[in-house]
Amino acid sequence: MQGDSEKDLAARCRAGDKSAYADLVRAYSARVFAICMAMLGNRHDAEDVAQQTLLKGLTGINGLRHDEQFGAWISRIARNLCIDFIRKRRRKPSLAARQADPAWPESHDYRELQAALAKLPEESKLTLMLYYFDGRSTKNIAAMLDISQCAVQTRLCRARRQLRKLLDAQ
Amino acid sequence: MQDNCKNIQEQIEELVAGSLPAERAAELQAHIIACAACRAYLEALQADDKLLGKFTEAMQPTIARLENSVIEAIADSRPGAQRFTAECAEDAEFFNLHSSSAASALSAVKGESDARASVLRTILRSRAAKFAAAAVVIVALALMMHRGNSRLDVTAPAFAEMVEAMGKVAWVHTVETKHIRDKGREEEWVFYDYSYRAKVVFKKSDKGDFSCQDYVSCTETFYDREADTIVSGYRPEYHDPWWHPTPQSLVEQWKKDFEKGRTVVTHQIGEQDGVVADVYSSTDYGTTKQGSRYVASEFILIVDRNKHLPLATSFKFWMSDGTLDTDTDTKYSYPEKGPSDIYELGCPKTAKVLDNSPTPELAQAVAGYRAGRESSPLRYIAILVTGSYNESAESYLINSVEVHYCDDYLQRCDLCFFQPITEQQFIEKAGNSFDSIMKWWTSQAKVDLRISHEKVYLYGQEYCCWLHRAGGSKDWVTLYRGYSPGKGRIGPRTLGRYMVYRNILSELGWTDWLLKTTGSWKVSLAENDYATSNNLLCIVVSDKSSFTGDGGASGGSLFYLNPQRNYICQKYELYPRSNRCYFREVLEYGQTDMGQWYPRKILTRENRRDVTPPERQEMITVYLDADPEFPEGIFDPEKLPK
Repeated sequence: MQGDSEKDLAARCRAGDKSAYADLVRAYSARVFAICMAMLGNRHDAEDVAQQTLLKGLTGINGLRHDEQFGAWISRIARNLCIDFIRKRRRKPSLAARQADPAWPESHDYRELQAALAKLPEESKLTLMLYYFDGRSTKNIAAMLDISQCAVQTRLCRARRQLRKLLDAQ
Repeated sequence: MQDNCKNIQEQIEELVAGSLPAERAAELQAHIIACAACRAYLEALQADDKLLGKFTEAMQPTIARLENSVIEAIADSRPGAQRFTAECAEDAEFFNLHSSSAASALSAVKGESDARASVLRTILRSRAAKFAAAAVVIVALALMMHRGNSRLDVTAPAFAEMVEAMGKVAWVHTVETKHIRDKGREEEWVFYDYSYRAKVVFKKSDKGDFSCQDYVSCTETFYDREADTIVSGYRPEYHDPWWHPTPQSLVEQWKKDFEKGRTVVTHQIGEQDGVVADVYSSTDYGTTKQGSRYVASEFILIVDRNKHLPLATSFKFWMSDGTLDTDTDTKYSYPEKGPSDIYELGCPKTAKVLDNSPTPELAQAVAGYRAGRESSPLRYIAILVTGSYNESAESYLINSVEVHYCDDYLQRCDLCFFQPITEQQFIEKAGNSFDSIMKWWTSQAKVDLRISHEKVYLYGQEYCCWLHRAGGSKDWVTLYRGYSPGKGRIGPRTLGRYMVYRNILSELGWTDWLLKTTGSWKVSLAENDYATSNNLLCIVVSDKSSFTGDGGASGGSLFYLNPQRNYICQKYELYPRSNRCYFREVLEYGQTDMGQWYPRKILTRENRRDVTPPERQEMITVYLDADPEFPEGIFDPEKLPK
């Protein structure tokens, strides 16, 4: 027994129970953030778009056809909003992205790691982010990305190797 | 050999991920010891893993902030399920969120500059807390004195006087003017009980909104301007100390916040509407809260010098880009009597009335339920043994054990999933009592079971940790660790995210769904065979459809309360609008030595409505020690498994 299930919460939410959506936010904020981080590459933008995503999920919950697919659905919204954001950013670079971030740990390692992560192909980055940030199992990620578990392991393996290479090169 | 090592290195990935079966992991370890290349590969991977783990950890405050901001926004979006589900909530602006783009736009329009502190802002948002917040500042100011940062001679008794004075007033009337975001002017009348819980709250805005929440009769009444209709519906008190902090809880929080801050405090004697007053002004230049975008705040509190009651407050918050984000003035008064209905506030008497307010019998039943929930055990160790129904075996196969340690706000849950075993096998291994299972759990369980994965959740006021370990792995992976000893500030909300209930017994026995149901749903007492034959009170919660609870329609729930067992919800049935239904039923009760009832055996079912048997059916058995001696260090985050 592990609390309310995704579909249970989504059903309650569609019935108007605000607290149920809060529980969904708690359960999915890390995943949404991981996706945004993977696609946008900087924490400020990722946070803003993740915020938009979670709010859009609330306002559009009635459009969710299958309660048990809330996770996949909110992930799709996150990706779409990231794509929109990237398009807009091409036209107008984000101010936030250029500002120094005082909250970011001053560790040299983190800066190097963030730079290396940014250079990874999107596919590898997303898999890594979901694996680490959201603490998802390879099985879970496989279901989410609609690929085999074996493919996830391969991607993870490849991503780690690429990351190692990039870190060694720095 | 090289090929072999290549294959092995692929498996080393799995070893690091903890997803390799125990036997294979042991074989691999043997190879690694002998092979320098693979050992080096493993070490490099572990180093990366550690770095990525730390990186993830460094991101956690951002994720927590994201989560909190959205949840706060949802909470702030107020009022009623209609607005919650409606399209009006189109973007962050509706939720008054601190999106940087929204703030920049605002800055361009207003051309103002300044900053704010998120903590103050959070407090400000909660109107129920406003009154309390005013009180708390006194303590904060007093604290500043001791730090020697100020010219003031304010001491703790000043706060005590204020708390005492507040305790003597019945009604608090506030008039709030928000100068930014065109929020207009809002008035509020709150009747508090002795413990500072709001009992009745009237609200009025200059836009023509009127509402009344009566937590005694579980009724919410509001005026729907567009429909020119006064709607009354069910709204029970749902008192969550985090969402609606009491002065006491705020005092503790603010003490900590101010100890961390760089606050400058001034004090003057002044006058407010002809009354001699103490005027306290506190300016916080920057916050130590990691990642906060609010760089300064100013809070002015004006207190009646003789009666020690707040007369007015003023808040300003500045963002890091210089934008003034909040600018709110509030005036306080303390009338002998408050309004008796919303007509007194000016609500049109010609408005139509839609009365779905609960009957006194229903209000009484809900009050009993609430009291039962509040008096459920708070200090215990509960073992939850869960079995899933297996059709081919025609019985429940046990596949998880959870041990919940609960000492009021300190919570820990050790959870273990394993290959299913029959109930008989479980009893043979672990016995059938709290003591025998606990003994087995601590000594033999990990040997007896084929574990698929384990988790540990730990929650306290200053920490929240979540560990995971795959079956066969020696090492625990930290999935989340928020730990700020001495600094506080990891709120109970974080708890929910990691599925540790604030109080598992309370959640199993008195689901909060009934208390969270709001006025747009129809709530009534009903009679049916199950309720009558079991001497239960049946509460039907339905939406605007023709839900009757007889299985014919969706969009509602049935709650069967047992007045003989502290109003435990013996059974609930949920029929959401989708083609599914959920059931939970307490089949057996237990009772502590103190006479408190708790659910002992619980059956849960979930299925599509056109399918039998259920798609998922679980039986949870609770073994309880309600007078426990907690294992040493069980709540200590430093002693979590490594």
